Amino acid sequence: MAVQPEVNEKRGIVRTVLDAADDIFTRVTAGIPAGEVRRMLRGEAAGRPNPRLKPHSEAFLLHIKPTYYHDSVTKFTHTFRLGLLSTYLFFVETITGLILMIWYAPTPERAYTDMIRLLSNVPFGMFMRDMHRLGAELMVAIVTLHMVRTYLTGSYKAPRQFTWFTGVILLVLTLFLSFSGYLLPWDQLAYWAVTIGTSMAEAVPPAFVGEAVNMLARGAPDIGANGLMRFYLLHVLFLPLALFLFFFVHYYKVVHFGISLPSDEEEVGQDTANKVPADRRVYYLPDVLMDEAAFLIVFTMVMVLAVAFFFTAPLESIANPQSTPLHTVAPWYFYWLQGLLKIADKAIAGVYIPGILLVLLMAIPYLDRNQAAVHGIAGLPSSAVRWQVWSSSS
Amino acid sequence: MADNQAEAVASQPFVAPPMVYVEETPEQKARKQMNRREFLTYAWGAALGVLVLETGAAMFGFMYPRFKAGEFGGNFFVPLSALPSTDAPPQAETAGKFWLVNTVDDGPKALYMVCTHLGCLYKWEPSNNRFECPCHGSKFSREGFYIEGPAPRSLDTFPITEEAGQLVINTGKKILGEPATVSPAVAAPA
Repeated sequence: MAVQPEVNEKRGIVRTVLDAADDIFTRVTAGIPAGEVRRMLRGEAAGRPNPRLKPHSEAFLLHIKPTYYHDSVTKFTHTFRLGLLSTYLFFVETITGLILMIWYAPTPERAYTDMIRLLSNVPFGMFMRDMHRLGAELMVAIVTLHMVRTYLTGSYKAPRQFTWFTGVILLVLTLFLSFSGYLLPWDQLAYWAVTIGTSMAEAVPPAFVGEAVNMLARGAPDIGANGLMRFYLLHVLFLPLALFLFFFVHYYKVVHFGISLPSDEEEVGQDTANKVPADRRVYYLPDVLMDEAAFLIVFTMVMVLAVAFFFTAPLESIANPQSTPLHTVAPWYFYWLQGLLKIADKAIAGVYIPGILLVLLMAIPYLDRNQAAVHGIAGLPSSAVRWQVWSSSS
Repeated sequence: MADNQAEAVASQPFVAPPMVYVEETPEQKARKQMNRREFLTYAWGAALGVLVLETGAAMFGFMYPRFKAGEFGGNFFVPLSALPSTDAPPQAETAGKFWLVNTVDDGPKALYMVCTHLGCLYKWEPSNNRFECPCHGSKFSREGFYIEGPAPRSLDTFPITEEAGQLVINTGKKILGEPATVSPAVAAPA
């Protein structure tokens, strides 16, 4: 199908130009001619052989997406699209974060004044910051809900144990990303919340290890220019790269083992993604793609409206290392940790309890000996929320 | 033809071959031992592992904070004549990050300004005659002893020596406070 520049006498010049244009179009779409795109837009079935599968093998960006899904997976209440949303929020954070970097320098002399300038003197500066902050808080919430959904539907069970494991790593990276961004505005809240957070690391036994971890994180005995630079690098480079890597490990597993189906449609241990009956296939192009795009567009609109009318990222007075404010409040997703720190020794509350919780969380699929299907609760939609009784039949 | 042969083989009853001890050939014996190529691979693999460890150690050295002379971490000097009396409130020395306080029992003390709990700066509360931390409510006596709260130990101090009529406070050497359980100022359990 190479472009034929010379005019074919029999077809005429118009036909030849149109053919050449369609050829270029097909190259750009990695295999779908213009006529097929129209058939997609009109909701008509694909021809045989299905040209809509071609971009999945030809195009790099689509090769990781499955060509079709089980129709049960595409129902909103089966996944609530929380995984898609988590990924999308990471995307939003990357874009808004890159834009914010234009007006920000990570030094104690400039960081806070840069924030003030961003908020008061840069068109859409406040909007970008609020978007970034709202996206961060939503990402923590959505990633957590994604995990809760996966747990309640028993989706972590064989063969998807490692998918869960990488998911927990992504949760931890999300929390660290959020926390590392906390210091960057260099206001009182940021400074003292991060002072407390890094002091927790100091409790890691034995003493010289905790001391070293704290020193490496802060770059000095207390947080200053070095600490700000280190947290900045963690936030904009190291942690996003780590999350990017683990995201693809996670997503590869999701595609490989498929998204789990409700227990009346799939036995535990089954690998449904690779053997979907022909009559239950929903193709990514165009149906799932359109669904996801519409969903994300509405979600983005809601976020923009929230930022425009309701949500404002807080900014307190400039960080003062000489004066600890009366109430240093952790971000809401660390309230549990802040409460623990008030009632227990910092090694127990700051290191042992979170550490043990994390290991248990990662180990859930390997500890769970009940390989049976999950059990629905009477009265709830059979597929929406399922309660599973741990090891009830083992 | 081939199908018939396969059927014929399948239809025969399975007979286990008799167990016979077979002397290993020299080649088989040699295979159980490490050969040169294998050894060399392990050797350079181990060298690579050592290199990774060395790089880790180098990165640790690279990332560890550096201290300049004359800043916090160095010596601070206070003339004996400027020493507060034993009933005066503590004096803040912000550059050296310590509170200078004179005590009856232990003489002058330099209390590290940072709470032993989670690194907040505690404050001197003149009305209560004690230090109080705004973050998690740890309280310490004027002499730096633990009274109550989540802090694990009394306040950390810096060593003080006397030289030519001056007190020398070495902020590079932090002395950890005694555990809260043995503090002489600890509050009676409620």
